Amino acid sequence: MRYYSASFIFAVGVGLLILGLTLMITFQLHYGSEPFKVEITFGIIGISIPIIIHGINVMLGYRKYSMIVTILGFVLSLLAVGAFIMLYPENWYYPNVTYVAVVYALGLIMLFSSSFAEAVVRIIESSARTIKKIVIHERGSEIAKKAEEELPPLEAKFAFPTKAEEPEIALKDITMPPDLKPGKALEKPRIGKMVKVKDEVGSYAEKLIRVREGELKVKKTDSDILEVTKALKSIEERMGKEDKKKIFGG
Amino acid sequence: MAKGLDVGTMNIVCAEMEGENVVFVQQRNAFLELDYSDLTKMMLDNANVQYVIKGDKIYVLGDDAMKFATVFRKSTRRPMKTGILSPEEKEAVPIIKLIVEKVLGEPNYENEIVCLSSPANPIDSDIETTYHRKTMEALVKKLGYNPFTIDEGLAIIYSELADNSFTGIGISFGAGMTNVTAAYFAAPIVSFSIARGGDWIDENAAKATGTPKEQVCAIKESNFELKYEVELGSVEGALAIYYDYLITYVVENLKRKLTEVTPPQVDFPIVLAGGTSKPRGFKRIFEEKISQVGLPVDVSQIRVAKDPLFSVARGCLIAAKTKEE
Repeated sequence: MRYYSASFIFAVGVGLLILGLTLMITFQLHYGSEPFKVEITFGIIGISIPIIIHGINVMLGYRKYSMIVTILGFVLSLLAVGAFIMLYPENWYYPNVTYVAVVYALGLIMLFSSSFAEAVVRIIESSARTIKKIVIHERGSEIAKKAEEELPPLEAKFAFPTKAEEPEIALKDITMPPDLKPGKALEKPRIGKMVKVKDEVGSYAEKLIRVREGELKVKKTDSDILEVTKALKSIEERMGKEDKKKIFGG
Repeated sequence: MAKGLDVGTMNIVCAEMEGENVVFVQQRNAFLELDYSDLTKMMLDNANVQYVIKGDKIYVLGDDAMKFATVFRKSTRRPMKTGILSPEEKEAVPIIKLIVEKVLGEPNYENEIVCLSSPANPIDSDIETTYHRKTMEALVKKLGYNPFTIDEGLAIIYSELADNSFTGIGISFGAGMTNVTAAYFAAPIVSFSIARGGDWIDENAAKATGTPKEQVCAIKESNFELKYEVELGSVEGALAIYYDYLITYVVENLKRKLTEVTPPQVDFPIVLAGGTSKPRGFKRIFEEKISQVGLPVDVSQIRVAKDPLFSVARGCLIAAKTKEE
């Protein structure tokens, strides 16, 4: 529903902007145009721009902080347009023009800032989706545990970002065709090539549970190990024989 | 108790614990249609062959279908195609139900947990796997089990990469599809499939050399070695070309998908499994392709699964055991 209303607001804004531009051409506006033609044309254009941005903001969705900014920006823009209609042409001179222009610009800045902030948050969230869990596993701290509680389940973030709830199917129609007669060999409960292997599947399952719970870590890259090895080697080379004996014995 | 079930295009494999052992029960996911006659029925009964009669037809199931196909010089039919239930095969559901029933056996207790393997959605085809997955779950549920599914690639990681905390890349080169999963601490970061596998190699090699598909498949499964020096015009040569094509295609897509995410800077071993990865020389060519294409992760090692055919079923069994009470 939100998307329909957002699209509608956006379309109304675009429609008004087109109307305003059409009027501008039709009236052939210039310095000496009749005041009501200027007021109608620029009034419509002035309103259309905040409406378009408002439509975009509704589509992106409001967060608590951006809602106030958006509404305030929208109201400021409308006030500025209203002030222009009231002041033009008799009182349309300095400093009134500056005041109206500043209020209108401020309104637009607030509206654009809201859209920009929303877009940035979305980009950060979408990239964080893939790394959030990883960071938590690596830290394993109290903060991480808290964050883990607040995060959606792992499966929801990895590989299936748009996983919707799947229907439970009770397949009544998978009854075997009535004229299907199994042969003699199918009377056995189990058929197939059997292979028996001694295996520690149970311990693997336990390990999998521990890993899922974040208790186990993976080894660092070979390059990390190589770096540490090099550092140790250089320390060893710099050490005197006596020092070595003290530390390593022998 | 719990069970793992690998529902593959070519094979259906069940894995379950029996004391300290894991028992794998394997059956070909195929059937052969024969015309009904009393003589044929008697012959099949005497040979202890698995079959069902429907109207004036006899359907020989599983491994027996493959054997009889050679004897009768007929082609087997398959309930699954490109990793999912075949939409072209109207007998697919009842036949696969029979095979699954006989491979899984009866549950040891009501609602015994079964983990089924399922293909991920392919990136190079409009195939959607949800219908297949839900149908298979429903079939297994109807047998008295409590089923859930995991991606084939992830099953390989569960089966083969416990030593690396289930971090790495599992690739299942199956008959119908190639499934790829990259996981970090058992959580998939990339999971996709490619709608090409062993069948695709067979079909193209058969077309290229004018050899029946069954014969190409037999050559591939006998003692085929993957190498670059092959006789021109031979089936082996065509197989080598299409194997090379498939491996390159998989590696390039893996690189592309890994680039889309931000993989963590840890070692990523790669495990290859599935029937299509069985020929000698497969690993060597895969290694060459990886070094040519280059992946955006540190590949610590590339190895073929301990038992490429049973790896997915084993991984499913491990996953199922984690859900046991």
